[in-house]
Amino acid sequence: MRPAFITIVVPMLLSGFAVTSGCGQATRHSAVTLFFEDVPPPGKESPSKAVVRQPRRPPPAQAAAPPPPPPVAETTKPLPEPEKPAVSRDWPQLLSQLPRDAAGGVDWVRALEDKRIEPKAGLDAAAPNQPVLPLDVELIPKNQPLFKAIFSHKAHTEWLGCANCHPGIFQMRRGADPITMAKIFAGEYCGRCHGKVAFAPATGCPRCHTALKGAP
Amino acid sequence: MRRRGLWSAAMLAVLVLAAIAAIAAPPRLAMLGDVVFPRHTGPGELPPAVFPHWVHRMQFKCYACHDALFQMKAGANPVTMDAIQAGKFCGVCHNGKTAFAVGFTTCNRCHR
Repeated sequence: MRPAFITIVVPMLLSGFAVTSGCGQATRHSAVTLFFEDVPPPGKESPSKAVVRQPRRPPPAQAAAPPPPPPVAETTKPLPEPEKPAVSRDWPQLLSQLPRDAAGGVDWVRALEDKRIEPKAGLDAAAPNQPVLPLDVELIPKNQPLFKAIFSHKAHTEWLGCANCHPGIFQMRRGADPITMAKIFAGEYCGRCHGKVAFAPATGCPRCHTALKGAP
Repeated sequence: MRRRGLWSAAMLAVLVLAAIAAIAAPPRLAMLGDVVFPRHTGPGELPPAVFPHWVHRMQFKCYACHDALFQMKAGANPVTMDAIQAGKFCGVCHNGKTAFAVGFTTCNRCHR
């Protein structure tokens, strides 16, 4: 008897309540508000709200952006001078940009003239440059004026000091040194540097023998 | 069978291209003025040290080092690692302040 009452009568009562409450506007409203929030009262349309979806996480850029630094009072701290752009330390890259001579080697004299490189005078940054001597010496072989060579002291003293060559390699007296191409190729006189660290005598003829400049 | 042939042909082509790239890759540039310091401690260790003049003369004139630090003659300067560590020869600059220090992380910058 009891189970029948629960299983039959209670659902019937509940459904009857639902049906009767669903009939009128006011009763339906009161019944629905029992179970749900924000039910519009009868006669009022439910205002359709645009769905605003919040991002799941805050956008990283704005969130990570630090607050702007407080403005520095110019009276107390003047702005630092714009720094010179740091010298590139990509030496192979710099090397590839240096001027080349006819033989394809680096033309160091022109690189220095054009200020493509600015080598320091000493290990101490404040070391002064040694004086540059603007003296060209003409070396004319006997009976062969076409092979006249011009030694530019200027090009050499841009790099070297007097004592680097005088008097160890060259005496400081015109004609005192019997310079020949054979000796230069053998590594004496000019050949102490040329062919080793400076342009090779075998490929740089017109750089000294200026009369040969037009030669093919 | 035909598919397998195609695959092996493709692999062969890749291998050939890789070999060409390895051969055609320019070796480390030898420059005029490179000075090789022959080793005195015998073979089987590091390769000999090479002094590249070019990178130094981009930054210093000849008389910055010659003849105060180095004589202008290959072999005339008794450069040893001990001397460098003691602040002589290369060690005047290569001490970690002016230029990179000599140590076990920089061996192959000279010994190459």
